[in-house]
Amino acid sequence: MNDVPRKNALLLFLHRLGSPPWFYRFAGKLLPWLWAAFAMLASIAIYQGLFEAPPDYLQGEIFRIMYIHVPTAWLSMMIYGLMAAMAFVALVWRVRMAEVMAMCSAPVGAAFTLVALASGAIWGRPTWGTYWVWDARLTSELVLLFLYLGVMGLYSSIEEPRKAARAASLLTLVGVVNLPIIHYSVKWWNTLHQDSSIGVTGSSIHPEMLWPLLIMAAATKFFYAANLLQRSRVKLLEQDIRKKWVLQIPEISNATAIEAQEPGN
Amino acid sequence: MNHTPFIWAAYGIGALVLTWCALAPLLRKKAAIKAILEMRRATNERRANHDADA
Amino acid sequence: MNGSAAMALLRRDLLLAVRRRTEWILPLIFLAVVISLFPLGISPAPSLLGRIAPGAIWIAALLATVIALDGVFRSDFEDGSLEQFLIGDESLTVIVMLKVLAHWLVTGLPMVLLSPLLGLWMNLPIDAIPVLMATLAIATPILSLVGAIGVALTLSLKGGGQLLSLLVFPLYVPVLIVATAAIMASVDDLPYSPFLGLLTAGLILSLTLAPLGAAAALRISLS
Repeated sequence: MNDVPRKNALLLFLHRLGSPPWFYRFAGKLLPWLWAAFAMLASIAIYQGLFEAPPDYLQGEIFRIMYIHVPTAWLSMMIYGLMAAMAFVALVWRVRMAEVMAMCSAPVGAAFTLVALASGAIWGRPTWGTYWVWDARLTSELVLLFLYLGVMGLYSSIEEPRKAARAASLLTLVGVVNLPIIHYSVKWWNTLHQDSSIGVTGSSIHPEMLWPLLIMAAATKFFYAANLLQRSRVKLLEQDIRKKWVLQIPEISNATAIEAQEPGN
Repeated sequence: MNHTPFIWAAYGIGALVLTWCALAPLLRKKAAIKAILEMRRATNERRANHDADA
Repeated sequence: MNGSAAMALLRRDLLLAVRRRTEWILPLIFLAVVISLFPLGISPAPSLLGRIAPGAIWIAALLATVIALDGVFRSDFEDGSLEQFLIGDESLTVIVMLKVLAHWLVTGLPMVLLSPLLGLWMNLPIDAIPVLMATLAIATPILSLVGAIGVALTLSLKGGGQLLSLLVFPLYVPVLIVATAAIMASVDDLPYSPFLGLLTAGLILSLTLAPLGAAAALRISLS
């Protein structure tokens, strides 16, 4: 009988999340903690990655770009997966918060994909001699970026917000079904045409090199969570601009109180 | 080849893009709050004028 | 939907499409023009053309398909019959499948038939031409089916065409990779049937899933 209240608490929580004012307040309270976690983990990871980890046997110092490239690449794919899950909930159960969070995830995912691509290209220059190489991972990341841009483009070109979110959500789901197919076909295509045989990661990873990587990976997840909640709150404000709850948020009611105290009012 | 500028470039681009990613919603929120206050002021004025005319 | 109703719908769409000549002639002309740009823009050297032929022909086919796709739901959308299908008794998924079939017969199949000429222009070895035709025959329906989802999503938009390309090209990447691999294998005298098998698997997957997706997209766009 102990898990009955616990299950009720979870359901209650999820139900409350569906209410925009509740979500706005809850996310607002959570945000500082998420940013703090990100800042702390990222500083540790970057310090260790740049200064403490020993230089790589084959690549020397340049391997340190791995601490930017790999976590952002991992997260770029994870965000798409989460976006697809939210899109599914949005389409099947018409949950508005799922729509909002799915659409707000897209620019964040695109940003991480961009960083993964740029850092991958910069990593490639000293190791392979050229900035851009059509290797399997970079090409897959590029196609992923196009998928993100497509979702963002479709969402911004339809006027009615909920219809736009549903259309973009369907596109997200079509993309997620295709993503493994695209990924494997690009990988296979790369083996067909390959000149060199060394991938960007190269040899196996020494444990001292591994820790900053994992800490950075955790840090980026906190960044995503914080940024997502931040963007979702703003989107709710923009969409609900005429609703009563918006007038009651602290930023507005404080401004109102200040106005009321000014002389002449 | 000196690897240092590459490393700084990669970390720098990462920092730049992610900072922009984190700041963009803040700017939009400021604009949204401004718009909401404007709307409130407009409806209050309209209401005041209406009461004055009535 | 019973067989005769399906045939009636198919016949109606085919007749309409064939009568609107620009809709199916234009993509073919576009295909020919784009192919001729390759030797003009790169080099007419036969050996080079022959090497890029599979990719060039397939890229031109992708572009032509996206251009032609706009018409698959356009006329029904404009005269309101699409909304009738939406609220009607017949399954929207089946209707979509039939429409895409009619559309492919009129736009995709001619591409398959034109391809030997394109292969000749691009100096593709004669022995590779049957494989070229096979890849186009199996995979252009995939392009039409998957593309129909994109068309359905962008139906009510004004600049829909360009956005459509951005939406569907990433989805076309696997088809492009496997199809060109098949043709290149045939050129090099290597086994190409595994690639054709992959394309066929893709076709079956698209046939089962894409009409569902397109029907869902139509419901969203017309809501």
